[in-house]
Amino acid sequence: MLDPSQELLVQWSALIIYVIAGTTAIISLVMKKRPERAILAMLVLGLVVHTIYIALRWERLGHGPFNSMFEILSSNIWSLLVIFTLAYWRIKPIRATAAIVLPLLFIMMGWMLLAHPGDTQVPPTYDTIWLFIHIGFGKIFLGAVLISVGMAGVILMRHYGLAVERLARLPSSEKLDDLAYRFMALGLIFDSLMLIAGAIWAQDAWGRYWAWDPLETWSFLTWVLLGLAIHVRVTWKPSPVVGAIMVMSVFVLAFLNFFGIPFLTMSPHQGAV
Amino acid sequence: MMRKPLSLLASLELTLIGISALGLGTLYAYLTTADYTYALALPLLVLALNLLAAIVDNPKFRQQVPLLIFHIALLAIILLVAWGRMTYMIGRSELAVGEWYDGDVMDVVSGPWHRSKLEQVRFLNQNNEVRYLNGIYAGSRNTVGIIGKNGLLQTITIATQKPLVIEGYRFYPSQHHGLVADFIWQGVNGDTEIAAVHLPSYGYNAIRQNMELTANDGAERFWVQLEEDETLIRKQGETLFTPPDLPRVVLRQNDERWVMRPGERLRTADGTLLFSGMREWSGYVIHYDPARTALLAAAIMAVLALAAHFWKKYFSVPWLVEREDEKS
Repeated sequence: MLDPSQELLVQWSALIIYVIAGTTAIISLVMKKRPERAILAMLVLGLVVHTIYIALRWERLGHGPFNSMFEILSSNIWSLLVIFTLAYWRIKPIRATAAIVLPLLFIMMGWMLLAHPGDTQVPPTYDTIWLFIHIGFGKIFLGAVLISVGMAGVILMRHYGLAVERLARLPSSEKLDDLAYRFMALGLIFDSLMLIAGAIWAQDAWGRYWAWDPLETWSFLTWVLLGLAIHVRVTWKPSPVVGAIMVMSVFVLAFLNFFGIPFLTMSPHQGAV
Repeated sequence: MMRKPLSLLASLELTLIGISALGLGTLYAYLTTADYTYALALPLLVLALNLLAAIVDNPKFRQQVPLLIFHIALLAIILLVAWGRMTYMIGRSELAVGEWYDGDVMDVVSGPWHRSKLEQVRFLNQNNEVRYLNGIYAGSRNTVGIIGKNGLLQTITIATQKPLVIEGYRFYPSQHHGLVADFIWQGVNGDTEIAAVHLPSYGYNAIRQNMELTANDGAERFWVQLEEDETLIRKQGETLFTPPDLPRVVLRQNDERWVMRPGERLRTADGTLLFSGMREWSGYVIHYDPARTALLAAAIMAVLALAAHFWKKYFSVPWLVEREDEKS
């Protein structure tokens, strides 16, 4: 068994691999190179090392990374990268979006390095399978929206004349907008499932399925905004730029909901995903 | 060309207004301390009417069966939530070990249509196991007894997240728990009274373990305080909360003070007070909401229908035919 500081070295190793992968993605976009297999291999390697870190900490503490800001950032960096790596592997035409998505995750990594990595204790309400189901659905939801963000970023960069030539290898903005909203649809399904699983958990954790606590309220607002974005697209068929702005808005609200609200409230619903 | 009123009511533009209003209403409900019922109810009513009008007016909408089912399930969720709010009840109770629940409930909040059946509920609080980890509450497991159909006492274990369900009421052991000081009063006239003094919830009030004791039909009043001779919740490691091994209570009446251990008696002019010992009490949170199962079914139906709709619309249709050079 490793001690906590040795465990952290394992996680830092994973972060360094992610950063090298992200930097390579940016440089390859700028230099118009395509070392995509190398980036994929680095992402997979980083995930393997990160998984080992999470498993070691889980084994030592007896519970998963669900409580402190450090744990939540670590587990979400892991899950978002799992989902993005799957998309990177399977949807080759959008691989260049790694140059947008990975820097976003760098911000989370930097934030995590500033968070206290101390040991945590989970409340008795976490002793349920519904915690894992709720969290799992939440992670898929945020991952789906993150993939949309990559494509929305390309659309907006093109619109504002940034790196237009370097982004030319990607499909047209209309096609990217179409794919982005497929992932938004997937996000709506998993956001709905997250809310339902959370309500089932809340029923047994606190005896009620819904109480409008801050996290529940902002989760609902995120769901409403996601629903609104999809309805706007159906109703008015807006341009890819407007669609991209809506994707970004949903992501910002979801991001605040995951990483902001749980730490600004003293309600018993402290555990974000 | 002017649109018909039904067509206006069924329009997607109204849907957008309704969804936006629901978002703003939710935000208002979150930020205000004033009554926010209308801020949520009005947008939901608009969306419900919009949906019903769309079903009647829009054949294209009707043809998309999964999408139609999704929206009808959302409507069902709204109605079920409303029914649940009219019939729900939340309350709490405290039971000492060995005490039967007899319908007693405190701090009740309920919907206007709730008709209490708690007087029909009976169970025995047999044993409480309250666990602390590093001084922090880590959960409760209570053993309760109910009378089975064969007339025999049937034992059930419940926990922080596993309630006892009787007559639709869900009894959860809460994190409020504490000690009971048991006294027996015997008056000079031969009358006997049993007094179980529930000391304040221990986790929150470990240093304020005192409460008034009344005996002799209220004529005798004592202030009872537990003497903190033992550490009941350790700061490190795991602790199973139990009453002190050698409990000691201080009784005060006017300027007089007595220290008592279990089995000791206090004589007054009107009778004798026996301190018979200490046991635990457990708090219970009681919830009632008849809509919850149907609500869960409607929510699952909504998500399945949504998934079916998007599968047909997006996932079963290729997004982009890859060029040969992109397949490498």
